[in-house]
This record gives sequence, C-alpha cells and structure tokens, in this order.
Amino acid sequence: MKYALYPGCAGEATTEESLKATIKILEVLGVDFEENEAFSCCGAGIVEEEDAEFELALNARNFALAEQDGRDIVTICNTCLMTMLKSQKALADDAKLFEQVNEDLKEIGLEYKGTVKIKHFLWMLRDDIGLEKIESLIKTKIKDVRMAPFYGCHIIRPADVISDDKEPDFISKLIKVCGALPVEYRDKYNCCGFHILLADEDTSLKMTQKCLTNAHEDEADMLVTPCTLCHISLDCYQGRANKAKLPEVPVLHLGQLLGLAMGITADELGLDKNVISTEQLINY
Amino acid sequence: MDPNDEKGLDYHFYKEIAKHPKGEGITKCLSCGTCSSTCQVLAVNNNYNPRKIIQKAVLGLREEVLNSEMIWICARCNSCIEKCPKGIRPGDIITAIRNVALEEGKTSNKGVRHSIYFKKSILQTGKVNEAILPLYTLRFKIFSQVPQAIKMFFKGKLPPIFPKKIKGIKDIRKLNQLIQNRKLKQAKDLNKRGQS
Ligand code: SF4
Ligand code: SF4
Repeated sequence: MKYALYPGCAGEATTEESLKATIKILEVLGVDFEENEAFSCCGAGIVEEEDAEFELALNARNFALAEQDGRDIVTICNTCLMTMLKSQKALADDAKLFEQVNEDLKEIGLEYKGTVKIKHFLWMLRDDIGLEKIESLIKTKIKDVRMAPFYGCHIIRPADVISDDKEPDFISKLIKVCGALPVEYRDKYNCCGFHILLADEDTSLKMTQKCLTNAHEDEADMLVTPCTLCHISLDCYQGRANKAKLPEVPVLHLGQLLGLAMGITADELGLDKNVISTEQLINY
Repeated sequence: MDPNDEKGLDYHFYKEIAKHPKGEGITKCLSCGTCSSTCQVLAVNNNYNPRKIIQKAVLGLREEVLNSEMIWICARCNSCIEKCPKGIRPGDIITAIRNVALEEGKTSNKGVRHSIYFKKSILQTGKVNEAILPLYTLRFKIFSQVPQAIKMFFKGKLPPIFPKKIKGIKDIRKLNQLIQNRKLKQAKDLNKRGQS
C-alpha cells in the first residue's frame, strides 16, 4: 500500500514532534509513503463557515493530487481526518456537486475520481500493519507506567462521517504491546477543548483541565493521543489549564509511544519538544 | 421586506438559517434539551446552551443570536449530533448560524475573526499560519498569550511567522476565483429572476 502523508497545519508547526515521530515509525515499519508539498490545508471545517464551496474545492484538490500519485492519504490530525471524510462524503452523495468540483479542478489540470482512501495513522496501524507486526518490532518494553488513551472527538464523531468503530480500543492494545499498563479512562472519547482555544480560552482550558483532573482520578501517569490538536491542548496548554496545580500529566503522541518501545532515541522522537517533560516516567 | 415586529423579533430568521445545508433541520427542533445535556462545553460553562441558542433563533431573536459570542464557542465535539432524537444535528445548526453571521459581515468578536483568518491564510500560503492566527483573532488581548509564547519559545516551538508557500498556491487562488465568479453569477441570475 502506498501513502501520501498528510500532517495537517499543526503537525508541521506547533507539534512538529508528532510528525517527526510518525515519520520515524513509518520508516521503521517500511511503509511506502511520501509527503506532498502541494497539499493545502483542509479548511478544518472552519473555512466552511465562511465559504463551504472553497473548503470542498481545497479537499478535492488534495484528493486529486493523491490519486494522481496512486496513493491513499494518511493523517495524524483528527480534525483533518474528519474534514476530509466529510468532504469526500459530500462529493459522493451529490453527483451535481461532484461534477461542478471537477469542472473547477479541470481548470488547474486535475481530476478527482473518488477512489482515494482517507485514513488516520491509527487506523493504518490497525488495519494495514496489524498488531502482530508492531509487536515484532518492540525492543524495549515500557514498564510500570499507567497510560490512558485519549482518542479525541473527530476520530469518532460524527458517526455518519467517520464510519469506524464508535468505541475504539486500539490505543489500549498498543499501550499493552509497548509494555505499559492501559488505564480505563473516563474521558477517552471526550473533547480536549482545542477548537475554542482562541475564541474562549477560559472555557477551552476548563475542558482541558477536566480531562487532566480525570486522568488523576483514574490513576493515569500519562496520556497517549493520536491527534496533533489534542496534543496542543493537553500538552502545550497544560500549564495554563492546570489552575488547580495538580501534578503534571505527561502526554505522548501515538508515534512517540511506539517509537520509545521500538528503541528509537528520544531525540529522533522529538521528546525534548513536549512541553510537559516525559523524563521522569520513561528512562530513555 | 423586514419582517421585524414591534418587539424586534424577526420571524423569518429561521428560514435564513435553514437555507444553509447544515441548518435545514432547525424547524424540527423539539427543544427537548438532549443536545444540552450531552454538550461538553456546557459541562464546564453553563452560559453556553445549544438548545437555547436554537430556540432563540426559532423565536426570531435575530440580532441577539448573531451578535452573541456564544455561537462561536461550540467546540464542534459532535456529541450532540449523535444524541439528538430528531436527528437534526444541533452542532451543525450552530455552524449554519455562523454562516449567517459571516454573511452579515460581523467581525466584532474573536470567534468571527478566528473563522475569517483561515481562508485568508490559505489564500496567502496554502496553510494556516499558526503564528498569525492568535494575533488576528485576539488583537490587543494577544498580550495574555505572552507567558505561553515564552514557554513555547524556549521549547523551540513557536510556529514560523513566514511559512513557505505550498507548491501550486496559484491553483488555490484560481479555484477561489472560479468559485467567487460562479457565486456572483448565481446571485445575478437570482436577482434577474426576482425582477422579471
Ligand atoms: S436534541 Fe435536537 S430536538 Fe432536542 S433540543 Fe437539541 S436540537 Fe432540539
Ligand atoms: S458540537 Fe457544540 S453544541 Fe454540540 S455538544 Fe459539542 S460543543 Fe456542544
């Protein structure tokens, strides 16, 4: 299988460590992937508030570019995933829209056929690589750490767009394979508050704080997330969210977790860029 | 053609919302409050209440709803969409209300500016510039972000102010041009039909 890696705007800037770690994992797994310098932002479901047609066109263009290279799209951002799947669904459901978008794409020498598959990195690991192969690559088990999965919203909801497992548990399986202890965590499918961080920081950080407090309640030492945006709220903004001055909860991006267990160096996984230090929990 | 009554209510407001594909379901709302009871924003801030926003819109409190900061703090967690007994996607109705607010050219609050900046930035470079987004959204209130920025700076995490443009940025601008031309034409055709 061939992939076009779609990091999303955050993965390329604020949380570049998640991208760095993901690339490392893809290399270790021997996945045929490429980054595409022509990919644009997906619009994040925000451009659609002002101009739905433009958001659709942005996505159709990215899809066409991936199809041109014969690659499926794999992303590490939940919101990119949802926005792309939503656009794909809109184009699949409405023949007129499909035609119109293709008329526009023709003007820039592209065509969207509707064949490209869009996947989250987590789904790719589960469906295309498989737990067994991942397990075979684990070198140093992470022992005695209680880890809670934090899936985030846009890898689950809305269910008619994200036609995947409504109650996923693959992160817990990965945590286990890496040698750590998966925690049953009440906020695993809840919202980190990221999308209103700028519109209403106070409310956003209260949502983040709730997730952190519950991590303590459920006795998690660490959180693991597959999403670059959850990573921003939970890790980068934890200091501001943690008004109750609870002990810090380190947060790993999924790729960083796998990388640590696969014996990849902290440096190569960008662990120095995580705002909340992971050092005290993992000896690397 | 202003259907405002003496109480300042605009009984046609819901139609403006329903015109947008995401707002179609608004007339079916039972005001049952299921959306509010699942809402993850309301759980920490009870000034925000999706049922009430929808109800106010249906009642015709047009200006109050469109000027409210509240319509911009739906975190789009989509929990309500899974639970609404009428299947009308309350979170999407909030998006349709945002559509109307943006059509009205409202730029008075952070939420609107945050939304508008996305397209601006994409037309410039093809991506969202994470360094400028907070500046554009928060304006003078950006100073509240200084401690956070310092922290990020020491982690080497501040996003670049001048990120490079994607390959084919001209194509993005061309797509936009095509779309805007089509919209203009559609508006003209509609106007003509209205006159004849
Ligand atoms: S759950 Fe649905 S029907 Fe009930 S108040 Fe919310 S939008 Fe209306
Ligand atoms: S999508 Fe918006 S309105 Fe619906 S539950 Fe989430 S925050 Fe509340």
